[in-house]
Amino acid sequence: MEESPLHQFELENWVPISLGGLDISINKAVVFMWIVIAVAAVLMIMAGSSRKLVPGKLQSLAEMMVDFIRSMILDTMGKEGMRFFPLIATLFLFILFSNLIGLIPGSYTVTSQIIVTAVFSFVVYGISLVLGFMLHGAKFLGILVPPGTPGWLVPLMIPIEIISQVARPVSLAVRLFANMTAGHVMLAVLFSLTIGGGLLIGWLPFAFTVAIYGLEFGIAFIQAYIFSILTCVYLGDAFHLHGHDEHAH
Amino acid sequence: MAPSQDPLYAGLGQAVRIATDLLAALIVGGGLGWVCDVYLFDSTPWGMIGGLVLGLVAGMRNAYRSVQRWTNP
Amino acid sequence: MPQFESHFFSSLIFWEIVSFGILLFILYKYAFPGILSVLEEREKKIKDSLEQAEHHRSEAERRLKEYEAKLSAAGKEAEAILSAAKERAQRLLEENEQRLTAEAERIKGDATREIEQERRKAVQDIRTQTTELALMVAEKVVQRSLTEADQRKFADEALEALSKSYQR
Repeated sequence: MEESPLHQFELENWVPISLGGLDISINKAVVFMWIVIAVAAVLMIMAGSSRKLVPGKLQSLAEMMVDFIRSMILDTMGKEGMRFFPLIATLFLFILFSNLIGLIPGSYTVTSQIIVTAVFSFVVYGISLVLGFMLHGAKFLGILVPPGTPGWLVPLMIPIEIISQVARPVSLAVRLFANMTAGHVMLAVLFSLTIGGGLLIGWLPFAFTVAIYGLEFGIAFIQAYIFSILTCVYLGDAFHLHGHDEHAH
Repeated sequence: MAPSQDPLYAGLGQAVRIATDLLAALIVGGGLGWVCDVYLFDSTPWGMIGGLVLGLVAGMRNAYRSVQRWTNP
Repeated sequence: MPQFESHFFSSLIFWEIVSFGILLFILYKYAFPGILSVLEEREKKIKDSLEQAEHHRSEAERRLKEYEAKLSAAGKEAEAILSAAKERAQRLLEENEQRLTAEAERIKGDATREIEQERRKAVQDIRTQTTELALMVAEKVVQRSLTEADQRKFADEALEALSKSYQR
């Protein structure tokens, strides 16, 4: 296994398809997207179809996740945010299952593709902008000038706020991508060390591999959680212009 | 299921978040400055320098917001 | 980094949007309503039972207060009855005492008066009888030698002496 730890992220077109000049060839990442949605859909439907008040293991796991997302939405956006529940819950489950399935050796982590995370984050951010302008009209531009800014600072604050607003989806995308990539690079390096080291000293990196695996498992959850809670926060900001926690001291 | 409740994971997550907040704003600021330099004003390298400085400030703002959101939700 | 090879972007973006859309549709249609309704039902049930428990608790508290109030009322009543009885007994006792004292006084007075009467009557009797006796004796003695005037004089003298000795 003397190959680059980045090799695992490489893609090749398995089935070349073109849709009106647009290249939509099927590669490993695409296949794993399908696997992710298939697993997520099957598990959630199975969990949702047994409507017992005293739930079984699968049902209670799914309910825990749904309840988790629901309370996250209620905490950040309030009751009006519940109409975004399907979007945010699907986002959470998509990212979570991508991260988790990516941990299976030999599989592919969809969320380690920067373009995948960028599409999610910019779509979410776009939705929050559209929502903000729909709810507040031109007043929504007020997010560019935080309340309490002295007049002479306004010309400076506007470019800073523009940058900080654009940086939001960028950091959202980069964070998920970087976490997933870094974790898998680390695992790949440790794994190749384990193989290369042989039985004699190979156990040390192997122990590390196991430890990092546990950590990665947690990070898979955390990143899905962070992505969805920031989605809630951005959408919530669009709801509540100059929200209470935004500029509080 | 609440991974954020584990202090180790929460701390790690928070540190990574702040780092990415700073980095992303820097990238965006520098990028916008570069666009100004090359496509709008032909002001190389001042647009990019100004953009990076603004990006630094914006990144700090975002990091500050994240921390605040974390500490008093 | 292989992730920045932009010629895969178009297919990744396309398939990401398509698969996300499919997942959203499926979950929205078949999974979320069931799970959410179970959650809400359970929450409602928990809330209901909490409310019921609260209701029971307040009911029990109310009953307890009621009983306590009743108990204290009964205690007061008993106390009142007891004190009334005591008072009554006291009054009766005093009344009786007074009555008995008066009765005794009366009886004593009656007895004294009776005794006095008896005594007077006895004195009177003795007086008449003695007078008659003396007369009779004097008559028998004097009949032979004295005149009537002497007889009366002697009788009076004897009587005088008798009454004097009696009074002494």
